Amino acid sequence: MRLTLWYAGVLALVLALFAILTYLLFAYTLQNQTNQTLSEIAGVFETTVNRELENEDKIVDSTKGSEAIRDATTELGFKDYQVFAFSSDNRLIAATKIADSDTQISPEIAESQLKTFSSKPNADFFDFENGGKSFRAFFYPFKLQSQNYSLLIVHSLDDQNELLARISYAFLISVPLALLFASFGGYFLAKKSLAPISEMSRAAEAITAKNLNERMPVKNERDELGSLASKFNELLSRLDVSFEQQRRFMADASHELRTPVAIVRGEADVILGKEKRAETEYRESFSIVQSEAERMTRIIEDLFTLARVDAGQQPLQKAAIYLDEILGEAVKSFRTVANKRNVTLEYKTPEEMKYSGDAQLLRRLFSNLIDNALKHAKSHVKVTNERRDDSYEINISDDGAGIPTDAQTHIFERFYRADKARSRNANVSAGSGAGLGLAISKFIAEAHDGRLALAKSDSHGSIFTVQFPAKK
Amino acid sequence: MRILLVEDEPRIANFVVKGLRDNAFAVDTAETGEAALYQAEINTYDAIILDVMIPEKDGLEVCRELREKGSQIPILMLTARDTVEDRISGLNFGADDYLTKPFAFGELIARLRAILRRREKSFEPTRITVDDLEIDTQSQRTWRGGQEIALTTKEFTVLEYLARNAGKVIGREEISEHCWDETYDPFTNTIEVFINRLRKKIDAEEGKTTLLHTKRGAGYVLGDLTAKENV
Repeated sequence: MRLTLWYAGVLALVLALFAILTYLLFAYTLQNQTNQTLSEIAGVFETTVNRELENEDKIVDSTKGSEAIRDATTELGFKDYQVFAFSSDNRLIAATKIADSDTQISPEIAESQLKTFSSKPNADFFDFENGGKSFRAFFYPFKLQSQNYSLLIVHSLDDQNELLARISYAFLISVPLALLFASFGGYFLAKKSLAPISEMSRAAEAITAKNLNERMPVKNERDELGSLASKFNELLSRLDVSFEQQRRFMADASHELRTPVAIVRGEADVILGKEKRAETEYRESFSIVQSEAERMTRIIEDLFTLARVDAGQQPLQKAAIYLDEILGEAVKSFRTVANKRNVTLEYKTPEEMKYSGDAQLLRRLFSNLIDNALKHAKSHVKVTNERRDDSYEINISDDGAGIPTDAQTHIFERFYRADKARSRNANVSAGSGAGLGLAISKFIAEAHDGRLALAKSDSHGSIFTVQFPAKK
Repeated sequence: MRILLVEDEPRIANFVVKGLRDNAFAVDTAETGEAALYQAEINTYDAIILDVMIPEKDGLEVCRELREKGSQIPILMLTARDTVEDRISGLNFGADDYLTKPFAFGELIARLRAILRRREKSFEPTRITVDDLEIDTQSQRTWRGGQEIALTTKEFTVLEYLARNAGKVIGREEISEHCWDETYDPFTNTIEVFINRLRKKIDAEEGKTTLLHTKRGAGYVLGDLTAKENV
């Protein structure tokens, strides 16, 4: 509606301007034309008078001029143009007549007009009114045999004014009419073309986080609105996916926390449910509560790390470090665990690997991978550390049963556990056991411009590879 | 009452078993769905506490299979998932009740007792009365003629089972099935020992009717048999 109003307003302005300009141009042209005709008639009259005189003897006579003028007057007749000839003392010598009596000017009026006009200097054309009609007059002085004469040519402006009036009538009728039609047309056109937009806005209004699976109607995918709607739908799909991920993340996180909470609560309920117990029972119960509390702490830390990753605000505390050193420390910290599980942990000390990174995060990355390898290894875990041409490559391999093929693509996903039962029962040391370890490790590697990938996994074991670009 | 607990998280199983034993239940455990079905097949349980997320066959599947086999055993589902849909599917698959983790242990016991009661169609919630013997299954207290009798948890377990089946002859085997877990050794006279201890505690007072009777070759009966005969 507003659009239509704007449109009509602008159109009205344009049309009005056009009408006014046309009218003015017309009026100007007509006036010019009249003036030109008037001066042409004056010229013709003068030539005719001169020719009349030439036919006579070349005797200078004061009466001959007036004679010639009179002859010329009778000889010449101009349609709609009246010619009055005056002598130097403003006396009327002769006048032509025209057919139309309505616009006939009497010699007396011509004379009086000439008198009024003579007082105005330097003007050839002038307009006057007579009997409610407009006239244009042309004053033309000329010499004849060294005698001064003047002509007053009068033309009625009736026709001209009527034409202009018609033009303005035509404009006054056609412009509003055109405007009306254009406005209606514009309104319907706008309504029709905006209908999909209002439909889209209604659809958009109804979509919230709860029904992100709904889509906007797409009528014609090839027009602008259709493509806008499908772009909106693509946006909705992306939002839907990330909302779904968020929802699943929340559900998984709460599920992961539920188990340790259930254990702590149940353990406390049961132990307090009976009045007297042996001290060993209390001790056992408290140690369970303690280890579950530790597990919860780790899960919460992992979740917090991931939340910060998602918010894009995990500030790296980069410093000059040696990757081999951090890896060595990580390996060392797992020696006891490896011994307990009867797994040999082999580590080859390589050359120096100077790098810039966050030591704490990198330690966590290596610990997660070693812990993972130890959990799945049968008897052997090997950590190697090589410098390639333009990269540092760290391989962590185990001789476990390998990761099932269908699970391999999912292992870096959050909360994903290839084998639920096994990793749950294993004594967690570095990771929370919530299936977040590899997701976090991948993030750490990538935050350091590196890469973490599963290089190989079959029935003979798995190899995880971390690569960092080496600075030359 | 003998319960089968199906739970793959050992630390949860640990405290549930401990708590159930404290409450005079005999408990066996299974970690997988297959194991649960097998144990339910070979042993006699009064109820099953079943975790939904267990390996091999999940809890819902176990529940469905048990019902398909015609088992009427009360089943209490235990799960970490708590959406309405989860609860609905749990109940639709034939569970009697549903409890989400984490839970208050008292609630687990209360719900367990409730589903056991429903099977017995008993309206006296936690009190069982046999003649002038009264036992409260919740507080595990026993009275004879208003006089409280102190019993150990195991003695109470046996007495509770007999009281629930008052007037019926209960075989030794049946007692072992319902009051002991699978560690019970059938070649011992453990049950006789408990029955004797119970008899000493319940029927000790002079002038009272004897309530705990031995039916030679068949088993034991709890109840006032003389009164019954008179009727």
